[in-house]
Amino acid sequence: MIEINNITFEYNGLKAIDNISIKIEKGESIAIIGPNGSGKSTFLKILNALIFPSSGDYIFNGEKITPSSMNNQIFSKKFHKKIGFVFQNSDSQLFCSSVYDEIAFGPRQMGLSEIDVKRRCEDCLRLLNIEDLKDRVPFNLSGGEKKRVAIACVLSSNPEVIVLDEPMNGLDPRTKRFFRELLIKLNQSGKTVICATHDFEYVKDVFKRAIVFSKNHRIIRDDHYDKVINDSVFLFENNII
Amino acid sequence: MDWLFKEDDYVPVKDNSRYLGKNIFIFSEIISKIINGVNLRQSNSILSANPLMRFILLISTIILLSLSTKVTFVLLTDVLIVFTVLAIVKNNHILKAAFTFASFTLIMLIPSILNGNKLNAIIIVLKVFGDICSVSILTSTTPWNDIIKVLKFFLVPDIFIFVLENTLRFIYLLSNISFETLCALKLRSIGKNNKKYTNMSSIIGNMFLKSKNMSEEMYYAMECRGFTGEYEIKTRFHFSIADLLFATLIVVVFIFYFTMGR
Amino acid sequence: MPLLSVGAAFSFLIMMFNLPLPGGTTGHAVGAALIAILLGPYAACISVTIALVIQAIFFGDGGILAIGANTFNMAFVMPFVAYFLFNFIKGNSQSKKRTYLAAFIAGYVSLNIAALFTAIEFGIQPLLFKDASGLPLYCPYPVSVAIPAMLVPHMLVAGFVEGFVTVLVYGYINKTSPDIIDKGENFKTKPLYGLLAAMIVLCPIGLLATGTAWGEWGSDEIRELIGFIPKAMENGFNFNSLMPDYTISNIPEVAGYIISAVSGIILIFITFKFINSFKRSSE
Ligand SMILES: Nc1ncnc2c1ncn2[C@@H]1O[C@H](COP(=O)(O)OP(=O)(O)OP(=O)(O)O)[C@@H](O)[C@H]1O
Ligand SMILES: [Mg+2]
Repeated sequence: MIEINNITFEYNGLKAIDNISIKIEKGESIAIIGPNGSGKSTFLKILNALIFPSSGDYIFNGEKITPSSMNNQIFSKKFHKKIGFVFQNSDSQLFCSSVYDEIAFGPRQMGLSEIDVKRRCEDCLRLLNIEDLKDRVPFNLSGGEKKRVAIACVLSSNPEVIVLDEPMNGLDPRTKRFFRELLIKLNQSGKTVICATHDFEYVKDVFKRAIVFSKNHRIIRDDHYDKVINDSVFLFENNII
Repeated sequence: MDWLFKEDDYVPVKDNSRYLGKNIFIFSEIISKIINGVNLRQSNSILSANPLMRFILLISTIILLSLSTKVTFVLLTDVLIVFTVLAIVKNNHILKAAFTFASFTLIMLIPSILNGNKLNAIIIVLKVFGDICSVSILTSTTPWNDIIKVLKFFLVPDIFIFVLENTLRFIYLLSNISFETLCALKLRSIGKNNKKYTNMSSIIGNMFLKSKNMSEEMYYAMECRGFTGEYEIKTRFHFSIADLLFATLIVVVFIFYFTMGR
Repeated sequence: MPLLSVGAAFSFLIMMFNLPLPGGTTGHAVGAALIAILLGPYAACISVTIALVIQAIFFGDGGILAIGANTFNMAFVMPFVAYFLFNFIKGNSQSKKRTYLAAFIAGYVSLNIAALFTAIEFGIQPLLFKDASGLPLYCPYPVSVAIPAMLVPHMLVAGFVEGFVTVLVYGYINKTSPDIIDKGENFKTKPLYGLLAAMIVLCPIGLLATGTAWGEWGSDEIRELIGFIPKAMENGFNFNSLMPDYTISNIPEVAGYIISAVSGIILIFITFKFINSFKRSSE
């Protein structure tokens, strides 16, 4: 479903990703691991076509993702519909004036009837356990609440791939456990889950595969999640634990 | 819940969302300009000297340019400026930008030119070109905070300089936030959006609320660190070879003006 | 005092937000009316001034000499007109509708009045600055051309953008945290009168003394008004660091600008001709 061939990305001449290649199949659940500044967030941004690699190819469902293909509005909208992104900083992801509108944003744009929109929103609110927040203004919510809303509003447009950038950051243990269950549930329902994370304790059994970035922005390991996580010598040598 | 477990068969309709790409582009430009401007480091010893003389040169050039009514003076100054850009600054973007502006000014003046006002129109276009080049020379060779500090020599109160410096910082922080939100809006714009103005206004509104929080936080942080309302900026000025060079240039520009510019 | 920095940064950034206009182009608000309503006219005056100074110096559009005029129009005239208008229309009523209407009108009218001032400043230049043969030295267009050329686009387009942004952002903040909106208490702060007096004196002086070119005058106003320079071009240098060209082919956009530029010229030209023939027939 996702094919990355030899991509490199530079910020102003500074390498953030150095010649990586990955294949991801539908329904996988993948953890992206690596020390700070190794290029995880940059990689996720490339997956979402927010930035484009300086060299190499990104192929999604058999179609090349390039600046010019994304310039075609219909194509780009279709692409963004299929892949949802939960930002590292959920603060900047919310821009509507109520939680309900925020979640309804995607479905409404898809031209669903207001009844279907309502059904989807209510399902999402229930799934994330935020029914009480329905009429609140997102700006005033707490960090954990915002994160739940951010995830709900990505889910409501029913993407096939869900990309999350360190979703567990700054959450309390109970919420972390809740998100763990949620990720498992989503993956079981057929969604492809790709997630950058440092919180190994709380994501047990969520991922089947781990991709490890090194501090010089390359992939140094691509293996079963459990194998990687139990290889403490490897993790220690690469500044991950 | 069943909808979440099956794939939507969805084909988007057409809806103009080019403005989003444009906004994202503008904000990334602001961010990178500030990063570049604040972190400028000069290897060239002429340009790494104290910017005071360059600042005075800039101001005098601009004022004399706009006062002058003689095409020879304006043209000569422009040539000198272009020479500076090519020889010292070595940045073709400056010329390109100034050229663009000058062309647009020319377009604006076409009706007047057709009415017979040719020479004055040309002078105006040349002036615009020179002004833009000279400002860009300063901002592309001098760290921005140093430019702000130069104001101290013109008796601008320290507190005002403090405000200006922080404004740059806040522009940077706030544009990062807005940049991300605009990206999120773009990613989630998967169909027809009938509330573009409302969404954009909420982003602006959020930016305002965040500004308010930031200013309060900064105020508390300042109080905690014992800020008393006095703020002193220390800058010393040593006269160097480079300053001599710029001082000479200032004199040259004035001589030109009084011999052929008036 | 941190509030001033943040207010200035906010005011700078509002001007950077491009909103879609019918026909595929974009336009932006000045934001002075909004800030005046949110923070009070004095804070707005200072904030917008700093924002304009920073824009002119660092974001390279050469408007340094126009700062005097620009601040007068956009940092003084506009916020005060907006503030008084808003409070005048709103009165003491608590009605939401009336408040929002007031915000819209404040934005729409204050921008047009600022545009009118700019047009007058342009328009008096040919009277004040002439060469030996009587040809205008700076802005060549008289009041009779400058006013319609400025006001028509503002009344038809830019004013609505300003009005909508003012009312929508005001509405959002009013809904989110109504307590932080300026209640008019700081309206009576005396120390600011000094600064204001200085501005009132300095701005027109700077404006007449410098008497620069037309390209500089409405650093923001005039170019934006006829839809002239795309912002991407306006930010001349392209360091291209954060985003590798996001919008690669904006051909339709460029075409839009050319069309609006051409229509701008035609507008000026027609006004010119019209006035000339009018004069001739009256002679
Ligand atoms: N906007 C930017 N401009 C310039 N350099 C950047 C930018 N964003 C990231 N970088 C650099 O790119 C590299 C990779 O950053 P990235 O954010 O992808 O790391 P990360 O793996 O997500 O780190 P973390 O675990 O801290 O989130 C870093 O060296 C960083 O300094
Ligand atoms: Mg990261």
